[in-house]
Amino acid sequence: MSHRDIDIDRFYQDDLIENLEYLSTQTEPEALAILQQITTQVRDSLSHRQPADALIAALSNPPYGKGLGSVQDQYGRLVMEVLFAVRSTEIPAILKQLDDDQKDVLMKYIYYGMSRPKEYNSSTLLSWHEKIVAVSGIASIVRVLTDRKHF
Amino acid sequence: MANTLRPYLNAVQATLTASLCLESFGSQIVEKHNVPEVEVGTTKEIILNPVVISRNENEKVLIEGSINSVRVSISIKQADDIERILCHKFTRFLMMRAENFIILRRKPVEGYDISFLITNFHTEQMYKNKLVDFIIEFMEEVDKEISEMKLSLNSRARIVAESFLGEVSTLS
Repeated sequence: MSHRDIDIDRFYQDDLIENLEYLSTQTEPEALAILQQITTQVRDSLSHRQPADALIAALSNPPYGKGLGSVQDQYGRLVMEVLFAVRSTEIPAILKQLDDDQKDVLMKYIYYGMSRPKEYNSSTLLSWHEKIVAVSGIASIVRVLTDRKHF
Repeated sequence: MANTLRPYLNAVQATLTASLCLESFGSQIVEKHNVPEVEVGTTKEIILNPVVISRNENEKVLIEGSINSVRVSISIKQADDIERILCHKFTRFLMMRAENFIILRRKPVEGYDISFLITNFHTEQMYKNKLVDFIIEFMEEVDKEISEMKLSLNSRARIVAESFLGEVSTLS
């Protein structure tokens, strides 16, 4: 009866199907070009002390899907750079300028940063998290939890 | 210290409230079974994205949601060897009596110290906000408990050492 021990599910290539299902619509060089464009925009706004503009630019076009390699991590680093450049007293004013979609994307990157406590300081992220929840309630958390776009 | 603890607990509370939106859901794989989907993990489309909320490298909470169950895993602060031992003993004591705590899991998720599993049956019997409060309170208390135990352990060690050395000094 040794054939009963064979795990046939192993041969069903779930990974392959999942990777295809969530495959990004962009190719890696395309995403990289967009990233570079956004990066210059963000740096520009930051150097002019306009953190709100920098954040809106940084949240405008996040790379979604699988098969993008390291672009997503680089993008995450960029968003974190903006978040850490903002003073905590400025946060509520900045959040007022964001619309709901941007807040959702921001929330996603806050969780992204918090899952990497070695790289990013959590207390800043926690204060961002607190301020978003104060503005829009738990709605954006729910949208992060149910999000199906891999980033 | 307290001012960084508060936002951390608030974030956990908000995320838990968001993910504790449960309903009964029969298994799609095995007929007439109703199992916590986050534990079996066989149906991908009803499992939510797991999120981690961290205060620092050692203190973090992993919240994995699904349609009928939520798994909350807590990593407790362990600064030195004594705290590590105390934490291990403490969580082991609780987990051996898991059925008294209803939502406690018998084994922690890998990489974490203690795990809770909340299913739709629990949210049907108990208030959702009370469940959230219980976990928040647990997180508050466990740090306090362990540091208290550490203090009493140290003071006891000091008393033992003093009386032992007093004994030795009378010999000479």
